Amino acid sequence: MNKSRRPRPSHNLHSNWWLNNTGYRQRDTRPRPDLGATWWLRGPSYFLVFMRELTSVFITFYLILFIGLIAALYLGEQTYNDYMQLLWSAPLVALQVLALLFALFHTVTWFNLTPKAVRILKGESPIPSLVLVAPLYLAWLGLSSVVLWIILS
Amino acid sequence: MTVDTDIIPLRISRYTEGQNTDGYDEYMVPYNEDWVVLDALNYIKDYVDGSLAYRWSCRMGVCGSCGMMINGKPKLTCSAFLSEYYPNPIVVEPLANFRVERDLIVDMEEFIHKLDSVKPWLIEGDSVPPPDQEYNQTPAQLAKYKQYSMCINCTLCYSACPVASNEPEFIGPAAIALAQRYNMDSRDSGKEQRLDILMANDGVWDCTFVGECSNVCPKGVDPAAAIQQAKLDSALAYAKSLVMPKRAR
Amino acid sequence: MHPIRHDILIIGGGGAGLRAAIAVSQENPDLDVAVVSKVYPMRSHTVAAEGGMAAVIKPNDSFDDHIYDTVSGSDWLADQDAVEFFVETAPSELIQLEHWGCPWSRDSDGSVAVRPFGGMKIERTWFAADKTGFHVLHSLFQTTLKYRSLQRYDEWMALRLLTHDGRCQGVAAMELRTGRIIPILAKAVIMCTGGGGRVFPFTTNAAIKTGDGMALAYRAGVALKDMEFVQYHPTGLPGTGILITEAARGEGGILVNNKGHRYLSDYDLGKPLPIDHDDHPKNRTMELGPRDRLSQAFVHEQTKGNVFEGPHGTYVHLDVRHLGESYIEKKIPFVRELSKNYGGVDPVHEPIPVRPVVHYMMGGIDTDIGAATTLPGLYAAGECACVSINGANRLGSNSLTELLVFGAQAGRNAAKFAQQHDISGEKELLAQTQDEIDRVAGMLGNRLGDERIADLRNIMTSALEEGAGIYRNEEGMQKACSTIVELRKRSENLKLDDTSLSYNTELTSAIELDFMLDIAETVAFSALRRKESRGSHQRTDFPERDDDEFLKHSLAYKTDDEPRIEHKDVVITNLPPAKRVYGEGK
Repeated sequence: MNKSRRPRPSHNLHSNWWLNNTGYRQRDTRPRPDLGATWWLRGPSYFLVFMRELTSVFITFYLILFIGLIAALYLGEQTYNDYMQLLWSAPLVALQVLALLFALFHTVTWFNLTPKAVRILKGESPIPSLVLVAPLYLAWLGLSSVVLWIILS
Repeated sequence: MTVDTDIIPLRISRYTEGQNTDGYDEYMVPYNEDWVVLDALNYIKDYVDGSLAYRWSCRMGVCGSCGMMINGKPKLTCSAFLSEYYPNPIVVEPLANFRVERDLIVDMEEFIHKLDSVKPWLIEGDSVPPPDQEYNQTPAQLAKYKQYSMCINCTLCYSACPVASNEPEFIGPAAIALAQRYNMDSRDSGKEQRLDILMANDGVWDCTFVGECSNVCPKGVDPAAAIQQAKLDSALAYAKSLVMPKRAR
Repeated sequence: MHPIRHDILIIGGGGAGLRAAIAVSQENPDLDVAVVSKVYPMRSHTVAAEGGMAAVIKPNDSFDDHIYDTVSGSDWLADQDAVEFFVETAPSELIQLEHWGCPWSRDSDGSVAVRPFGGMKIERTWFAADKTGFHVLHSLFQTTLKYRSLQRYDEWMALRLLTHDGRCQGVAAMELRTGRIIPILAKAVIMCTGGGGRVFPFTTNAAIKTGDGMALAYRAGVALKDMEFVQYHPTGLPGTGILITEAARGEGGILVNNKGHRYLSDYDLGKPLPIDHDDHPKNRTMELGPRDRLSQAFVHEQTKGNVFEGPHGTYVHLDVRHLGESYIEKKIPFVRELSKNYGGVDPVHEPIPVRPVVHYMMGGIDTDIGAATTLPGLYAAGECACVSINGANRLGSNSLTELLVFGAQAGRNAAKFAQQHDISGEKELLAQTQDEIDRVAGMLGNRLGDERIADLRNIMTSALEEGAGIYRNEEGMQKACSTIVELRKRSENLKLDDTSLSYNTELTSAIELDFMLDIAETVAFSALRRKESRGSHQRTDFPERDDDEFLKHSLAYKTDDEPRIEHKDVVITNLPPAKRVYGEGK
């Protein structure tokens, strides 16, 4: 009897699953149908997740702007003023607002997902999500208020 | 069948290896308010085209056999009512992210192997009760893992997962949820062994928390939560191993 | 043709088969075991069982009580020595399953919880919410993954037993993926293929319950015992037949007719207690009476016009509203889910429509306490076997226990047998396989056929429902018998649309129809020959139990013509035959 053996994947240390494969494997002539490169267009929940992941692009973009700001500060008053003018130009303001919206979206979605990762039971039921999520929002608002106060004063 | 009967069209993916039958066939099925898509498939097989091949068994949502893509979404055909779609046509395709064997039947071997790879059995520790006595487990201890024990292995979660789509070796939501089911069982002592497997290549860190697996799960297992908790557990285990020396196995 | 060889071959990957596999490995770890199943094991019908698994565990219970409940529940047709063994072995088997990880529901002190169930005087039904079968099957399946020497042949369908030298030595099985038919030779074979509820039109059973293993043994010359005893579960959803577990009644649910009356009080099942009474539900009373009596009561109510009429036939109401939402969600959440999805009602707010539905076959392959059949080398356990511990009517929650007790028996004894025998007469066995290949090729290649599988199946199921339903008579049973004989001839002319070899599910349906006709004939002919009423076999022309003539098991043997029916005595030890009494708190 022919026992064809497929190479064992890396995490498989003990399994003898290939013993179940008791005969020749007919050649796979069709590609394995998967969700494709446009998986994120398959529905609203997929799309929102994709947007959530996209927030990283905008946060990186803002980070670069911010690093540029610090560099400009280092390079002298003229460079700094030119840089600030750039930041206040219409297209860049629009992009920064967009980045802020994405950052807010990022924060809200991840805060709300916390109860999924941290599951604490009281008796037989999970503790209310609010108990886990509210402190995060409060801390965020607190820190943001402090930063805002520093900037505005 | 009279002209007056309401009809609902079904477009069904067909494939037979070695025969030239790749494509979709369209069938007109009498519409019945009580019917699920599985009833429509059975009607076709019984009276119209006996060559339509698909898996099914319990027809009550507990055996996990009848998962298929219905209008692009993974569902159990025994739980998808025609009335949700009527009068629009229903497209039935085999579960995505699996190799197709025949018509609506996909290759489950890889999944079985993934399930097997996480050591999904009770690993006994040092304090096993005698053969005439059960382990003591309070309802609160049972509640810790009960949700993750509800998986019927229908693999809809694998079809919904973009990571499983792009990376076929990812062990996947059901396997990780099953590992967590045992990790959180107060009678089990195998958490360390399983975390090693979960932390490895193709394990929990492939997951990007899309969460669609939990959305499509027909039994409310919430594998996405299990995976994130496993990430937390494995991160803590890793940190601990840096600080404290590993116990001899 | 290259045969596959193993020491032990188990056909069927449900509760009994998987337990047997573990038992073989425990008895002798060096033995090489294979499990052949036409579906992946977690799809086996064990998965759909809901209510629970019975074993004596609490201090207020005793073996004698469980034995009495089972024997009286069986209308004294159960073999009492087997029942004694079953009851005494049950607790250790269930604790073993708990050690293997089964998530039994618990009392607040952490010990296993039990619930009341039909026909049981004292609560002894262990449960895992109301998905006991699901948890049992998955716990067993996951435990078998520990035994690395166990080889599984998933989606291989057994077509024929191979016999030589007076022994069973293997099976010819079709690999569904490729259509190849391969002989699997073994020193001992254990049949664990389940019952055959699909021979009836309205059943709780899944598609795969077509009596395959029973037919295989029948064709190999083993008798099928007590086939006329078919259990109608009193509460199935109209239309689909989906099971609403007895646990709903165990937790206090009540059955009412269209006049709002708890009609069971009219049928010798005791006095109803008010639903808010502390002692409700009272064991062995009213809704916790045995299943056969409850289903029979429904038929009487139907005759009197006290039932509701619906698009899927008549029904009565199962009312659990008084239990309250949180109790329902805790104890019977699956009942709620099923009622909402398939019954169109939320049981928290409305009563559930229910009617009797075929659920279980008490009869099956004739085995002894050791799970051995009359064919050396062949063992059987589970619903496909008949030891008999269920007699003429099974008590709810005994069958899941039966899987473990006799699955383990079969495994141990098959292991002992395999240690003492070797495969012989390989040439013969391969020739038998070739016969099977030719037969199946003939089915595939029949270009002149004109019968559709579904048509013949519908005629068979209707004939059985008409002639071998809850109440039977001579004329009805005769008609069923002759219809089946006629269907046999017609089934030789089946036309198959599917001519491919890969996953040809139409071919497997045709083979299953063939098996089902065997089962149907044993049911109908055994029923005809039993001229009495006992348990679930009720005849309007012989309405009384006749212990003088019929305190015997029926044995159906296959012939070229109609089955030959013989009888053999029931084993009585400590409980001489008496009247079954329910409702007086007895």
